[in-house]
Amino acid sequence: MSYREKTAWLYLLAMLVCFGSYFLYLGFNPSFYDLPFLQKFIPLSIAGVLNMVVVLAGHLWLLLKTEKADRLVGDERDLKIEASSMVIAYQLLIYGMLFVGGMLPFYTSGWKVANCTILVVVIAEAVRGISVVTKYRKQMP
Amino acid sequence: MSKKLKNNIRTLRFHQSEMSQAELGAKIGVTRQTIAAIESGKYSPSLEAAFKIADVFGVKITDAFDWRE
Repeated sequence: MSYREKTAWLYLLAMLVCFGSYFLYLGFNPSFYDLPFLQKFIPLSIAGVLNMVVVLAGHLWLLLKTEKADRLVGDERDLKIEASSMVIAYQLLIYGMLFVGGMLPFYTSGWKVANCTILVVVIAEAVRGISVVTKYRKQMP
Repeated sequence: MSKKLKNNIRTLRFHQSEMSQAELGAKIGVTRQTIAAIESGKYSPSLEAAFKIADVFGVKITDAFDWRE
């Protein structure tokens, strides 16, 4: 497994675990929306900071574990894989944002719109990550 | 019948004292995994990379790659 593929797995798994936990927490705690305004930031902040810590620690571990010669900036196949995955995620993000920005405010407001926005970003990023690791596994961009 | 880009990289590596995929990758600036993907026909390299591969083996590009069924 190449260094770039390992980092792609790291980003994907860290995001799925951290933000997946956040949305699970929201799903099992309907009382979240009754919390005082500032307290609503706490679970999201924990998920965000945890994601950052896991990615930084994982990256550091991979840097130490991988020989310098194997840490290429990214060759032409890596860039093609990134670009083709980005196209799919970007389409999803645009349609998701049209939904949460253009339609959702007519039905709900406040934190529900904010959480739906975060969910769309997480889904788009997860699709990008899944596409990247799948293409690496299949060896084709 | 549809034609595909085929390559003789495995044979060329063998004739270069069994040059490894990692060595070839290092010479043209790509990863070992990219060389493996090119060799197995799952990834078609850019024209620049194809010329670089041919150059490493000292052959013409048509001896390293060809377009056949």
